Amino acid sequence: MTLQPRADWRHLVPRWSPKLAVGSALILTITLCGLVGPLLVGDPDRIDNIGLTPPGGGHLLGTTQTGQDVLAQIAYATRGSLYIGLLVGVMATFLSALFGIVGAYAGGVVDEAFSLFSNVMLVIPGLPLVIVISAFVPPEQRGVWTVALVLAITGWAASARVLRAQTLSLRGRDYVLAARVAGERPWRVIGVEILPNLLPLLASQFVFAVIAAILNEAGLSFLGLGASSSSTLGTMLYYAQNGFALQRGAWWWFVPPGLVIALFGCGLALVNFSIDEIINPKLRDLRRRVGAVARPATDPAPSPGDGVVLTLTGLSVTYQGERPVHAVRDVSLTLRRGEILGLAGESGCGKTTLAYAVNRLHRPPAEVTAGSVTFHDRVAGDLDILALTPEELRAFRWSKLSMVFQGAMNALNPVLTIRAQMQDVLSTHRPAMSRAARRARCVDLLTLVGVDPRRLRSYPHELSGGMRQRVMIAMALLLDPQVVILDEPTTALDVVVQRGILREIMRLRGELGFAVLFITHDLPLLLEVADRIAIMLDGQIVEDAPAEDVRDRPRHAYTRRLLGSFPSLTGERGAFVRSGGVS
Amino acid sequence: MRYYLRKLAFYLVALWAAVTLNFFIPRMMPGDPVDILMAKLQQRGSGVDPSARRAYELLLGTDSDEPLLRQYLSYLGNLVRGDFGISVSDFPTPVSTVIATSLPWTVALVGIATVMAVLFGIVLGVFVGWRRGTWLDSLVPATTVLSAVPYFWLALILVAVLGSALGWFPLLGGYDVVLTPGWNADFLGSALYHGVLPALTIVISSVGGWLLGTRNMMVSTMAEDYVLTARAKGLRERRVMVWYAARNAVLPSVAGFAISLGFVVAGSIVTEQVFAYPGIGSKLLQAVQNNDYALMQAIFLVITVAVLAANLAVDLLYGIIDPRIRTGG
Amino acid sequence: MLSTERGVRARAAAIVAAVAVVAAGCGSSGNAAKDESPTLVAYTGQSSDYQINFNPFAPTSIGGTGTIFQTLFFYNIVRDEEPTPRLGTQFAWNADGTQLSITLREGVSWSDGEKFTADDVVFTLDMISKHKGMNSTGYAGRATAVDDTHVTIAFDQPSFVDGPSVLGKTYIVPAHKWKDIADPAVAVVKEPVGTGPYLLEEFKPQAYTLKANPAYWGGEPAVKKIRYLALSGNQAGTTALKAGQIDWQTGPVPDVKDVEKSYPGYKAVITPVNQIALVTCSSAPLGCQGPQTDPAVRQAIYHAIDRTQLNALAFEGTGRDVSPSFLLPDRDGELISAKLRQRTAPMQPDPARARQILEGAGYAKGSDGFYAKGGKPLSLTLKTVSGWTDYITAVNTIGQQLKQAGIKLTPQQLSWNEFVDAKDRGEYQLVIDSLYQGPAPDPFYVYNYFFSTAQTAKVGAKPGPNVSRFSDPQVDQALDALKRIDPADTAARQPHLETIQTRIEQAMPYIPVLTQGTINVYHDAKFTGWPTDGDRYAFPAVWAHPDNAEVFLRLKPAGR
Repeated sequence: MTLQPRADWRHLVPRWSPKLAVGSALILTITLCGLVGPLLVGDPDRIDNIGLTPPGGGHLLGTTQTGQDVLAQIAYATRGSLYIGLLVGVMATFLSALFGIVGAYAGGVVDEAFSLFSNVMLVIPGLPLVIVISAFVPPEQRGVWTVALVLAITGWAASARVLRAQTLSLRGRDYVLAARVAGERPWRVIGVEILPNLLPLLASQFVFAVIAAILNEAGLSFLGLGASSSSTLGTMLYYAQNGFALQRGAWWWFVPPGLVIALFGCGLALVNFSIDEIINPKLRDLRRRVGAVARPATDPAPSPGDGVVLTLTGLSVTYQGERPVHAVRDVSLTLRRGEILGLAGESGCGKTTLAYAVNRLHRPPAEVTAGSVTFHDRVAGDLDILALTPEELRAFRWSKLSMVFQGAMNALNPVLTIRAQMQDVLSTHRPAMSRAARRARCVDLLTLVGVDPRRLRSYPHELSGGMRQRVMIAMALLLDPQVVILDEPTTALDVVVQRGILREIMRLRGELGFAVLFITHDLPLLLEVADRIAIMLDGQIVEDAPAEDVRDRPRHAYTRRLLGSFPSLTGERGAFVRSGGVS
Repeated sequence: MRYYLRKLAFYLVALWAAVTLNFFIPRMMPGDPVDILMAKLQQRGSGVDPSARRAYELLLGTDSDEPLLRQYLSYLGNLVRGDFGISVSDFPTPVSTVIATSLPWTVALVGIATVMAVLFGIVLGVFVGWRRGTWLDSLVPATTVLSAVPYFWLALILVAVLGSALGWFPLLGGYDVVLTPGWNADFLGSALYHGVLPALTIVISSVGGWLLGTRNMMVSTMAEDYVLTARAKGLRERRVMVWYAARNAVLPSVAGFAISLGFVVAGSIVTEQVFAYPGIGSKLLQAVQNNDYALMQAIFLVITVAVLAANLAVDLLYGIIDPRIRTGG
Repeated sequence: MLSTERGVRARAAAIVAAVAVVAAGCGSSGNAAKDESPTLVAYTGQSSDYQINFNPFAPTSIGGTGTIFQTLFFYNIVRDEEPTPRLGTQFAWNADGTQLSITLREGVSWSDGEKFTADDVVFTLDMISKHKGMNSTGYAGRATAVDDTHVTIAFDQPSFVDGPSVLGKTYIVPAHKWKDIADPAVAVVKEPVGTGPYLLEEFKPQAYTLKANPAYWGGEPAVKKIRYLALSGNQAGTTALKAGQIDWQTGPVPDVKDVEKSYPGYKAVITPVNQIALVTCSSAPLGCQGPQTDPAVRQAIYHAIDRTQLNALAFEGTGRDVSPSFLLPDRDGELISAKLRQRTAPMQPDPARARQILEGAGYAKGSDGFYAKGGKPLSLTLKTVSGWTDYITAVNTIGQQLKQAGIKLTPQQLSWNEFVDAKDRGEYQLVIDSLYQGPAPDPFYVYNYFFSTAQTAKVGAKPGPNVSRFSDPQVDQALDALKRIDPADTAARQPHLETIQTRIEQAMPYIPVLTQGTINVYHDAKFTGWPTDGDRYAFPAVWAHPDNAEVFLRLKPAGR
């Protein structure tokens, strides 16, 4: 179990992108208009006998029905709307944080009560609430504060649900539990552990609240129920409607207020995208693919002849970015038919990246920058994997080379039955098979791995971890592949189950004759099952020899260190702690 | 089983709480239905004799000095019996009639438009999320911008351009008034025709939210291991996109959709104002402006029941579409 | 399950196809069935679906008053003239106003064929007495049928002024149909049977249609069909007007000055009847609070308003002169007292006068340009209803005008509910509202409604129409006297009217602004015979009843 580090404040600042730039520019411009505008324009309330006039001649945006300058009104109205938006945003976010986060953290009765309250508040219609509350506020204060209060009261409930869900999930995280066990007081736990992780979500909810507030206030004003004694964009639209602006074709009166609201909302939405990307870094915009990634031209390895099924030559994979990470550096490996090749190394050395790259499962920003992957097919000859077309690749995958992933917890689709997930492999790759034949094959393979065929009807979550892994193995063998890549297949299982799975794999390999690339950090395990072992360090292969040689005559210092760092079950008491040297 | 019972109990409590609040809110509003009625009649300028007040008080039955508790209990009793009282603003039509004639319009227009927006949004969101790094990405900010536009302003612009200027669609109303409502082709055709502009407004302004949400979920889902497995299995791209990615990604959207459908009624007020649509939103506005307690309470009840029922439906639906809940409990 | 790309395209195509089919099919639905005689489409401002009810006593009756049901006489409130006979032909009071004798028209039948007799009149009046919920005019008489065509009503008090309500605003219903109705006050009448020129042809929630009654005692009207539409308010009405879909509408429309240009085929007539005033909570003894309780302040405001500018900006020039006596200058010109300081309110502002009045009352101008007295600034709030389009503009304009005069005015917009509540409780300083007329062209009603102590109450208690809390014993005495004098005796009435006029001009609890012109737009090219400025034979508002029936009776399709 890994402890998640406390939120690094640097990670909370949005990355720069065109969307953020445009959004911020819009927000800044409009806010400036609202703050500074009223100081620069004339009196918005001054009436004039000229009545309704189009733009021009001293009035940049024309005049209203009573001769009031539209531009001046827009400046003051923007300020009014922004004020309300901000006010409501703060109040609503505070309320939803209170009822969502505190409730979810406290749990038990408090949580039930707060949650019930949120649901009930969601249901109360806002419209009559406006009128009721208005009646209780003294007339001098009535207007902005009334409407803001009502909007906040009727708007916090939805946000509270979102925050509650997130808090519930965070509450169970390791670092929170650790803090509680350590005896930290609840407020400190909320403030120090939970809140920083919720900050991006809170920020996103705040932005939504502001947008919603401005739009809702505009809607209320349009119905004539808005902040009567103040000036907002909504009230401008109301007066425009009042004065038959639409029927009179006075577009300069009703288009600008709506446009300002739209642009401001747009700016906020764009900023929200950037916040989303903090919450979920996967959302960051990908650079547009301008075509297939250019691959350096290297010749595929020639067929070596003596039963080699897979050749990697000088393969390099890099994660592109501001500081490129060379995850796999100049790796050359050969895998013979029916052989078990173990690939060992510590976490983060690039083993999984390598495995993905072999099957071209890697995604941007990972890129193959050099080398080749050649599959020596029993039937079709040599296949340059990196040069296959997408359709050829698709046909190649699983039928020639399949994979069993690390942690089958999540490798099976939770919403499909086992049968569906096994059969779709068959229906895709062997369309000629009949339904009965498909079913029979699935049953065969499940029996082969020791899983009751009745489990075909089950969903993944109904199976234990060990059974799921067995199903994954069965699935991997459906098409009789020539190579099976196992990526940490037993890491998450207990040793007894682990033993069983490994025995199955060995047996199946014996029966069906496929080659195995076994990736793990567990070197002693490899020493038992693998024919050859390759050691990986920092993206490079530092040792590549038959298993006995690695055990008895390790050539690289790192190999020696690895061997020496595993505790021994035999020997003197206390002697299990190795010094790191060779025993 | 216990899970379902608990859920049911929870919803019943929420229902009772909302109903009680809905009883009190109208009564806290300032003004008196009789005064408002008289004021409205006077506004016409044809003059109302002051002695009309007493007559109307008797007529509308709002002269009650009954204790609040007694009123509340009889209100609850009537509710259970299905008696919602008589509408003051449409006196003497019973409230249930008023709602029965207007609810179908709202459900039809706003309901259908919302369903369309959701479907468009989800389908587009699935595509945009799947094919990242292409021109489809620009759909996201484009539709989100449209969502930030004040809804009724967009409606006004559409009316001005498509209705007045170009004359392609009728400006307002639910159907051509010379026709008889009923299941006949003329009426249905006219209703559809009148429904295009309002539906268009709703779809344009709400599709962005659904698109964004679905796309974000797609992006998350596509990073999951089972999607990777699916690709490694050499399945066709369409199958992976639909059965592995989208099928998991849209689960949260289903929850959001059901809940938003519950708010269709409350949110339809502005729509119906702009387009003069004969739905329940305009009835609510009318009830509020006339202190029509009975009608207000009934419409609140409709909204409450709709939202709670939607929540309940979502909980049940989740059980069906997410097997982890159905079998796992 | 979820659509594939193909599915999306298919759905899109289906929708486009559906729209195309509907649009094509609907091209024809726009044409109504072409009658030989055109249908008159009227819009009363109905902003929601009609709920069928033709019970003339229900406050929310949707129509039929005047067209289907008739009164005994028709009182025209815009012209000072004798009432026109309808179901009654003659009436006479006894000397002290305690007995009213009415002669009824002969040969009238109900639309179901039964004969109309005095029994129907007596039945109707008795029904109103019995069911207090129907008695919206305070009728307190006892009616008896002398014979088939004569009715006598006995009153306990002198009731000259109650005559017009009984004669002109009470709709006679058939005894044979209504006697079995258990609770007539709340009855929903779906198939009305009346004596009037029209029958109900068809009812739909968004429109109902009346058709001409061939057996009407006055002869079948020339306009054969009338349709009343439900739309969604002023905006919708204007749009429909522009599209030529409505033939008669009452209410503000844009560009009313050039109606004939903006709405070809239409004309407008502007009838000044309701008097717009700033209603003040004027009586400190009755609990009012604020600077407006000082008559000097009210007078100053009166002089500071620029009525010309107000008329131009807020009412598009449709407002007319108003008199501080609250008599209509057109109709009651001869009754306006010579003792008044001003016969009509000045259309130009008089800031010097306003300043004089305020400074004379002890107000001094502060450095911020606003007056103050004893440390208290002269600051007032003016309430109006959101939704009253013209009033809102007016209120904003007045605020600006008073600013020039040093009076701070803060407009406040309220919902209907709050507005009504504020007036009732007296919790307001200024409110913009209009003073409406009574059932007959007699100034007594305005004075009785708005200036009598009987119609007011303390702040906090519910008043009648006199929400300004104005209470003056001299005015009350004059009103009492007027009640006992036969309205035909103008000479005897005049001194009392003069008392009232001079008292209210001095106190000015209602600050007169303008007389509002009720704007009527009608389709002159389609129908002729409408009331005009030259011939005000009825109040031409589409929702006025029974006036609208009078209009329908006179209209003829154009070109006939």
